Amino acid sequence: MALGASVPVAVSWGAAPIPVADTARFLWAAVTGGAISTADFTDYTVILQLRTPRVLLAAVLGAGLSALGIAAQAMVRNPLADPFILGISSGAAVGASAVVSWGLFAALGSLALSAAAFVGALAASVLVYLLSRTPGGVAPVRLILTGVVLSFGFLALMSAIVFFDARGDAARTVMFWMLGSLGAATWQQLPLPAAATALCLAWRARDLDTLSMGDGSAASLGVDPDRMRGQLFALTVLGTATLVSVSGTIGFVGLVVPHATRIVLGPAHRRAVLVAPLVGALSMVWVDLLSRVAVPPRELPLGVVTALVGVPVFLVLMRRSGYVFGGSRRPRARPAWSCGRCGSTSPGAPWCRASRCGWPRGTSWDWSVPTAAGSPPS
Amino acid sequence: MGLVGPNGCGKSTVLKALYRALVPRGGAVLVDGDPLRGMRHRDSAARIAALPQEERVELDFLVAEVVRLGAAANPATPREEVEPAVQEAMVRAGVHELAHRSVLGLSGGERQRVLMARALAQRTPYLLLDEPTNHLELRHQTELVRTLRGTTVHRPAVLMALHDLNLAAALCDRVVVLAHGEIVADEALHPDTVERVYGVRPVVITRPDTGTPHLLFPITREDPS
Repeated sequence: MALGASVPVAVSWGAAPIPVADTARFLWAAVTGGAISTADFTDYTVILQLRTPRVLLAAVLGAGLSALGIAAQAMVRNPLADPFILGISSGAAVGASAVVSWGLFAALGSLALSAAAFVGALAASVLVYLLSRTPGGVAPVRLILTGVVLSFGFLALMSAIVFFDARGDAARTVMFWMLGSLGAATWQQLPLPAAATALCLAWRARDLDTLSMGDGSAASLGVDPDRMRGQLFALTVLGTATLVSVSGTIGFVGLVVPHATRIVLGPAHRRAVLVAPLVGALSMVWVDLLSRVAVPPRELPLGVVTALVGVPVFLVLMRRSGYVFGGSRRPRARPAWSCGRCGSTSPGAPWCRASRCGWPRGTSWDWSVPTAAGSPPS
Repeated sequence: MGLVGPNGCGKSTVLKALYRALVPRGGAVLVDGDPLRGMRHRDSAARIAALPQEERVELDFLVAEVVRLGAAANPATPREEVEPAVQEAMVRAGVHELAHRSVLGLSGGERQRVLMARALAQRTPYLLLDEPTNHLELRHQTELVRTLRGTTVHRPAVLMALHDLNLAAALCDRVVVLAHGEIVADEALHPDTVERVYGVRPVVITRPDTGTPHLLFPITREDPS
C-alpha cells in the first residue's frame, strides 16, 4: 500500500515538480485512454515518457536486488553476502570498461554496455564457481574467498583498461556506471526476472530455512546442500547479471534490505522472501527520488544515496533490536525480578508493580530507610 | 547399537556417510537394501534422522520452528500430523517449555536437546546420534536414556556414537568398537578389547544398584614414568 502511494508521489516530484493531482490525472488518462488538453502536453510527456518508467524501474530493481540478497546470504550462509559477492559487479565493470575504452560490441549500438556487462558478470561468476569447487562440493567459505579475491583481480583489470585508455574521460564514464544509474533505462524487460526470483525463493522457502541449519543438518533433513547451493548460484548469477546490465551496480540494497526485513519479521524465509522485495522496491523509489531532488538539476549517483540513507537507518534498527544475524521479531523477554523493598515479583516492568511500592528495578535495597550497616531489610 | 572408539577412529565419519553429510569415496551405503547414492534426499529423510555433532544455527529461529523443520522434512508425515509430531517431540526431548525461545539464546545443553527433538520429530525408522550426551548435565543424560529407551519401541534401529563406555554398555544391545577406521570388536564389551584399543586397563566392578559390570579407569596423580 505504501508502495502504491509512493509511486505517484515519486513520479510527480522531480527537478520540475508537477502537482500530484495532475500526475494522477495523467496516469489515469494514460491507462484508460482518456484525453488531456494541449496545455498539459509537456507535463504529460515528462510524466509518461521519463518519470514513470524510471520510478517503475527503481521499484523493480529494489525488489530484485532484495530478493537476490536473500538468495546470496542463504547460499553462502553468511550475513555479509550481497548479490554481488560472486565477483558479479567487478566482472560487469570489466565488461563495461571494455566497451567504453575499446568499443567492444559496437555493433549492438546503445545496447553494447548492457550486453558487455551481462557477459562480464556471467563469465566472472562462473569462473568464481569453478575455481571454488572441490570434489566434495562447494564450501561457502571457499566461495566467498574466491569471489572476494577474484573481485580484486577484476577491478585491477578494469583499472588497467581505463588507465591505458587514450581518451581521458573513460574513468569518469566507468565510475558513474559503477555507482548505478536509472537514467538511461527501460524497465519493460525487468519485472519478469525480479518476480521469478522472488517466486522461486518463496517456493523453496522451507528448504532455505533448512539450509541455514548447516550442511550436515540440511542433508539429514532432506535437502541436498550442494545441489541447493548450485540452484541458488544459478538464480543469483542470472538475476544479478540482468539487473547489473541495466542499471550498473547499485550496492547496499541487496545487503541491507534482507537484514532489515529479518529484524522486523524474524528469520523464517517464508515471510522474508515475500516482504523483502516490497521493502526493497519502496526504498529504491524513495532513494531514486532523493537522488533527483537533492541537488537539482544534477542527479546524485544512486550508490551514494543508498549508502547515505541506508547506513544510519540500518544502524538504528540493529542497535534497537540487539540483532545478530537473523534478527528478532520478538522483544527479548525481560526476566521477572523481585522487588528489593517489598519482595513482590514484577515480571518485565522497570519498576515494582505492587501497589504503593513502585520501587525501581535493580535497586537491591531501600536506601531511603536507614538500616543497620548496609544490611538489606527483610 | 553403539559405536565407540578413540578420538579420530571414524565414528562421526561413519554416521556422516549414513546421514549424507559425506559421500563415501568407495563402497556403498544401503538402507533396507536400497543404495543411498542416487536416492533423493527427500526420500532418505523419510528413513533416516540424525543428530549431528557441533552444528551451529546462525539464524534466530524459535525452538518450535527448528523442531518443525524436522517434522516437515519427512514427506511421509501428512500435513495435519506435523504439528502433533512437533509437540510430541518437544515434550519427549524436554524442550516444550523453551518452544518460544530463540535458539541463539540457548545454552549448549538446551540446544543439544532441541536438535534431539528435531530428529525425533522426523519420525523415521532409523535414528543416528552423534555424541548425544554432549553438553548435557546429569539429569538430562538420564532423561535422554529414558527417551531413547522409549523411542526404540517403534524403531528398528538407533545408532549412536558414544564416548562413555558404560553408557554404551547400558543403552545398546550391540556395541561396535572402531579403531583406525576398522571394526575391532562387535560383541559385548570386553576389558581386554578396551585395553587394546584405548591403551588403558579398566577396573571392572559390579554396580551396587543394578548388579551389572561397570568399568572404572585409574586416575593417578603421579608421573607415570
